[in-house]
Amino acid sequence: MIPFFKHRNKNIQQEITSFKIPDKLYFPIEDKWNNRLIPTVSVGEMVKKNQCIAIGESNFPVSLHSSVSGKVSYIGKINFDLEKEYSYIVIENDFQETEILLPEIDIKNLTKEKFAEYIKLAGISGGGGAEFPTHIKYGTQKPIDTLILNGAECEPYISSDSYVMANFTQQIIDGAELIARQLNATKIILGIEKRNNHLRSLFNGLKTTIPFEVKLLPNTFPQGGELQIIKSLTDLELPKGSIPADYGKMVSNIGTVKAIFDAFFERKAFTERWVTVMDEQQQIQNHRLKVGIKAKELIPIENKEKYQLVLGGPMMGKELKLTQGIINKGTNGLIFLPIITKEENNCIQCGYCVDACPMNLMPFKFVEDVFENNVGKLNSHHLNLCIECGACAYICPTNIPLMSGIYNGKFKLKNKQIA
Amino acid sequence: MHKNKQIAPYIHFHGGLKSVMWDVVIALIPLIIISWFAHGWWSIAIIGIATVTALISEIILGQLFLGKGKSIVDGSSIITAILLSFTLSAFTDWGVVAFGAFSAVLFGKILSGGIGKNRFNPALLGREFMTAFFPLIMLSSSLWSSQNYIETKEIPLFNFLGQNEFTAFANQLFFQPTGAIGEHSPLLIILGGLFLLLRKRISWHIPLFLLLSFFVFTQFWAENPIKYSLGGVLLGAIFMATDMPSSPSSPTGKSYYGAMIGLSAFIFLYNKINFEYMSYSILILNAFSTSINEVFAPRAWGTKRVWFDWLEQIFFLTIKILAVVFAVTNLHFYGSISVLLFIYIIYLLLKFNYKTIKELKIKI
Repeated sequence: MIPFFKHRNKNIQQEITSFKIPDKLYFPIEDKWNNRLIPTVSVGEMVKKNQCIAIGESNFPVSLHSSVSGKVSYIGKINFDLEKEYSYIVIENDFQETEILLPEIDIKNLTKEKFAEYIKLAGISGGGGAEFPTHIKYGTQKPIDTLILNGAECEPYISSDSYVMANFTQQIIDGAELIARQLNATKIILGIEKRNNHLRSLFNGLKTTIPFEVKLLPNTFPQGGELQIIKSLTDLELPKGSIPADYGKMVSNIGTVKAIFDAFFERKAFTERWVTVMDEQQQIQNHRLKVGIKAKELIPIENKEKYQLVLGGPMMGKELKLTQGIINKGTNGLIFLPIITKEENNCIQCGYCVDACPMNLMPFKFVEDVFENNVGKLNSHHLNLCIECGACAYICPTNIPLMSGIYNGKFKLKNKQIA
Repeated sequence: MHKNKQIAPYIHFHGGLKSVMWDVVIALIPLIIISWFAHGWWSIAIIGIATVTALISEIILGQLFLGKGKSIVDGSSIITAILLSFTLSAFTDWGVVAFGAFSAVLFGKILSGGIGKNRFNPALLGREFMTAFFPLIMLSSSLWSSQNYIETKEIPLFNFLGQNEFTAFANQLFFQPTGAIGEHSPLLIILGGLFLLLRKRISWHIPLFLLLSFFVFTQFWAENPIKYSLGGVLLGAIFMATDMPSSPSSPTGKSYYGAMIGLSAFIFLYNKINFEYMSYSILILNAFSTSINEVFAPRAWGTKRVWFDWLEQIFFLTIKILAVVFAVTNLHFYGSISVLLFIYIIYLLLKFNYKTIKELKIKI
């Protein structure tokens, strides 16, 4: 784990400058796991905000809703200069913001099935970045004792979750209590980092029917991963790949809880989320942005040689060219970062990466093993446990190609398994 | 897969290789100054000759063998040169010093493929080369009987504490005019180590476990009191054994590595190897640091250690190390340490021709 000294969350401005919402919004109709969605609208149809525009082919993917009102102008493949073409529903914005609400639901008499079904209907998937469908996660039959709210924002600059916690405290508590009741959890633990200690008094001042506890996490990176936060809060070290529900724990991101509140109490679909935006002057603001906005059309990059726009945080986010560049339900940041040039040197085996690795691995060995093409060693060095957090590459004084070593190594492991 | 593309992370910790190297140089500067008090310009001349030779050889040899020339100068050869001269007497023949610095750079660094790829601590390797090729000069007793040339007999820094035994002890800890160039001030060595610790350039594991095991063995095992130079042991523990490329990388590995250096140093001392004990033990453990890395890899997340297997691995590793320690002890008494060095030179040259040269572009 590494502390950030140089990249603190500074310059956070709370007053909101508004962006001009682009004319066209893009909704990909296949998810990360190649599950397809079936459009429920056709080209030329007028849609309203919160209207369902696509539903999942199977039980897995969540429904998709329009985040604006307007006209469906195109359904089909678009090539955004990526390695792969994706299919989209394109909606032309009419800037009227006419909206419809989700069907009514009686919150007091919810069954577990109804609860999960409504979540799927509202199109809620995890707000932490993985975008795992929430109704599948909450639909577990395993007994849950603790609901853990993941308020960790270990990535530097990113502050959208703490903004939501500070400004919608009551909503987070209401949403969390609703979830906890449905899961029969007996307590709720909120994990926030030490530097966000000021949020603790906000939560402690509010009354809850289920025991609610705020616990502090260290200020180091990474904290936000499910396994890390469970370890920090309950001292339980779950093996990678295990499901926390098997151990009676359920972890939910603040963004997810907020989306659940919006759905159940205000009958809104998951079409907007809070995103940290950092501009070229390194000013940080939190905005409520619509899902489906193409980042490039929202903020044009003027100085392409010097700056890059990153979707997500600076540690685990992705540069626009590596993604579809569209704000989705898991996007927590949209930040301008100067392109850094790194001077590469030989590995001096300082062991900084070993100290930094949250999974207790030896990252520099991966580069060596990949070069030697030694799949057996990659396995014995536990490459499969790597969570690709980038802590090793951040700290490395000689900038050896740690991340490409890890990606290539995982690629090799995968190929080996298939062969 | 992800070639030529900017991949995460998009920010980087400020402070590269050069800042690592210059921090070590800063930690060494007080020791250079204090050496001037002991033997005046004699000490400074040795350090200067070693540094200049190392820099020139690094530029020329780097260009010749690695094709990198000037860009290779990152401060590491300066550290090597200073550390090498710290292990020498102030009255060593200047030509031999230049030879030592040259071979430290050539055999310790360049032929292994440049900084980071060396298996052994270059400074200590340079010293062994000097002893092997110029035994008459390096092992003559006149080298260390330098009582007549002492510039400053004592620096009464702690006299404000009053006239008592502790003051005398503290003064000696701060400055004693005998011994090798870098051994004059144990206190300043420790201060330099603390600076490096604060800057995270070394970890506490190696020095702590090295000193702990060394002192435990010398105090409780030996029947007769064993004589050693405190400054020498500290210099080895803090500056030599912690050399990054030649030491293991995981915390447990570092602890074991340190403890084993302490133990081997004690074994050498016990067998009356009174000068080379520190450099022999560090060099031997250097050779094992890759295997230590494998055995002492940190326990990966969510996995369990199989204790019996692990202890078995540690046991056999320890046996191997001790076997080498005893072999070196015997070789030392037969005066055949130079044979080891010749074998190493041949190995290095063969490896350079057939392996290293192909892997120069690989950063690991």
